Amino acid sequence: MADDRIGGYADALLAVAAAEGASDVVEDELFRVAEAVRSNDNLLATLSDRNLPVERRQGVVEDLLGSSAHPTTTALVSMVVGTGRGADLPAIVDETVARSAAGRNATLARVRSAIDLTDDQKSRLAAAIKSKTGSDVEIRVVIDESVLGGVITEIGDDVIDGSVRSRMTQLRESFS
Amino acid sequence: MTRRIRQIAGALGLTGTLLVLLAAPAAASGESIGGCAVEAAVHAEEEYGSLHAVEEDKKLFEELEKEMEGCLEAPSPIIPEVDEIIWGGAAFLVLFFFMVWKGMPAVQGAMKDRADKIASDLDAADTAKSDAAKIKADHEAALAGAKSEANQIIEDARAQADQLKAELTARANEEVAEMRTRAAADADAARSQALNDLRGDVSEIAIGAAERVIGSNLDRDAQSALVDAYIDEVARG
Amino acid sequence: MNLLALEFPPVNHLFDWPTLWFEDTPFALNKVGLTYLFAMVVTIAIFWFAGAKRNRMVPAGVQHVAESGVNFVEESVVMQTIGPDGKKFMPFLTTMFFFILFSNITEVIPFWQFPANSRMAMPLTLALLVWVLYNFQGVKHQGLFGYLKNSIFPPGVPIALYVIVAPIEFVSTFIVRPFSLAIRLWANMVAGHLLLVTFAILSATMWGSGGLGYGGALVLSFPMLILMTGFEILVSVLQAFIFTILTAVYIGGSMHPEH
Repeated sequence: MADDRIGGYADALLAVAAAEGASDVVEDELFRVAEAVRSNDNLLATLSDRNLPVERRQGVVEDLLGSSAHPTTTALVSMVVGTGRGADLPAIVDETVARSAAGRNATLARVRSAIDLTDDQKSRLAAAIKSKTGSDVEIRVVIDESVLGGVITEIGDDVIDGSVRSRMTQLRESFS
Repeated sequence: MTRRIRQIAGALGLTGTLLVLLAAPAAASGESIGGCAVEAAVHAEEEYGSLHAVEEDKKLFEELEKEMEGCLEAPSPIIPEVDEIIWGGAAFLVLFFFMVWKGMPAVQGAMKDRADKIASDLDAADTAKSDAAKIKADHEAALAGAKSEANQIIEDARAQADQLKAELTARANEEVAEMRTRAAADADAARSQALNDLRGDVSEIAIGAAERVIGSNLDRDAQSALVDAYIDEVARG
Repeated sequence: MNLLALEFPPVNHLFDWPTLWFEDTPFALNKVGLTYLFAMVVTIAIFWFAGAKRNRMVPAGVQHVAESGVNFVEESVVMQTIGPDGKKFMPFLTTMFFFILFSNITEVIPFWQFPANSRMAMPLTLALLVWVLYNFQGVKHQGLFGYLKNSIFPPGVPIALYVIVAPIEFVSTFIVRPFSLAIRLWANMVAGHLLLVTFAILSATMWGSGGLGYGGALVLSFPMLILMTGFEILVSVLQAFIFTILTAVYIGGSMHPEH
């Protein structure tokens, strides 16, 4: 049920972005918003709180995205939050991005890093993953300070962890 | 006092009695010559009518004279009389045979019986005395036995108490030692636990500090280098 | 004989007694014979009653008298002179002792006051009896020749002296000895009787004369009479003892000539 609704919203978002002609940008911006919401519990709670008036929730979205983001992005996020599905926003956006990549015969590779990767780095990483898994991947970078250094790549359920944070965790476990 | 009075009265009575009695021989000691002569004269007077008649008859006078002379005569004091020998000898013989037959055996038997009885009584007394001595010795032996037994019991009780004390002491020592080792083990465990805890804390602090240092010290080039290295790693498979 | 108004009978008459029964027969019984019978009866009575009361722990009364006498004869006479083998003469010697004692002691018995042994009859009879007895014992234990030899020639005397000693020994042992024995007893009793009679008559006469006589009787003659009476009791016992112990000595000498 939930997946149906998430899939429905994802298809709707893809359709709107395609219709506006700004798929790449919108997709990219939606991904960033979803990551921000996922990592910010207060924001997630505010957006998914059905007791707050719809205008108030949509007002928060306007305040966050209005000036900097594409209008379509803002409108789509505002729509999802307005329908009371704020809590599902990260999942909906993930599904949307995944379906968009699948549409281009590629797999989404979520790359977490302390810094943004250069294009060269992205393409080299995509090539490396392709040589390993045999399928095309679309790299989407999530800036995560907690990674400290290095990269964590998530492809579906597979995780390739080369982060300084995981090294630190290993070090801590070896001590205790 | 009454005894003294009685003695004096007795002595006086005895003296009076003796005064009368002891004077008797004067009368008892046969006839006096005068009495005899008078008696002879009276006898003649009664027989012949009167003394004058006797005096006149020469033959009768001679008879009277002879009778009166008889008053002066007496048996010889030293020649024994046959009748006296007969009576005395008979009395002596009777007495002798009685003594042989009855008197001596009876009295000597009684004396012998008494001597025997005294001897047997003395024997019995000796026996009783030695019995008493034996009983006393037995009692003393029993007493000594009881005393030594009591000493033995006390000795045993003391030995048991000593043994018990030794056992209790040993057990207490064991428990103390055990408690000490356990306490030492506990202390070791606590110390190693504390050490581990401390190490954990120290490593946490160190790693936390390292994380913050790494986070703030990794510059962009280093970060980029790390990413490049990661990519190479993935590519190498 | 009326000296000092004191009528003293002839000495012969003091020992002359009228016949009481069986006059003019050999069994004429006078005071002397009665005294011997008395001595016999008393001794029999004492020993009869003493023997009847046997097993009394502490002897008393006649038993004490009898046992004291027997004990005396045994310990002081027989054991001292003959020895243990003389005990077979105990009945004879005891009889003799009591018989003489009681026929003497009548000397001081009131109203009787006559010692039978002041008459020669029994002293001489008993002495001859003793003479027969010790001679018989001598012959029996030593043989006739040994007895005569030991008696007449006492051992330990130098042979030369036997000329003198032998006649003396013979006469003294076989002739004088019984008479000395008899006369000693007889004379003592005669003397005792005379003594007592003298002081009795003196007392009675002085008392009867009145006046000073009372004092004299009370102060002089009567105390002497009492004193002499006590003395004669002693003499009676002593003479009985002497007669008995001499008898035992003679018998012992015949049985054991070594002594």
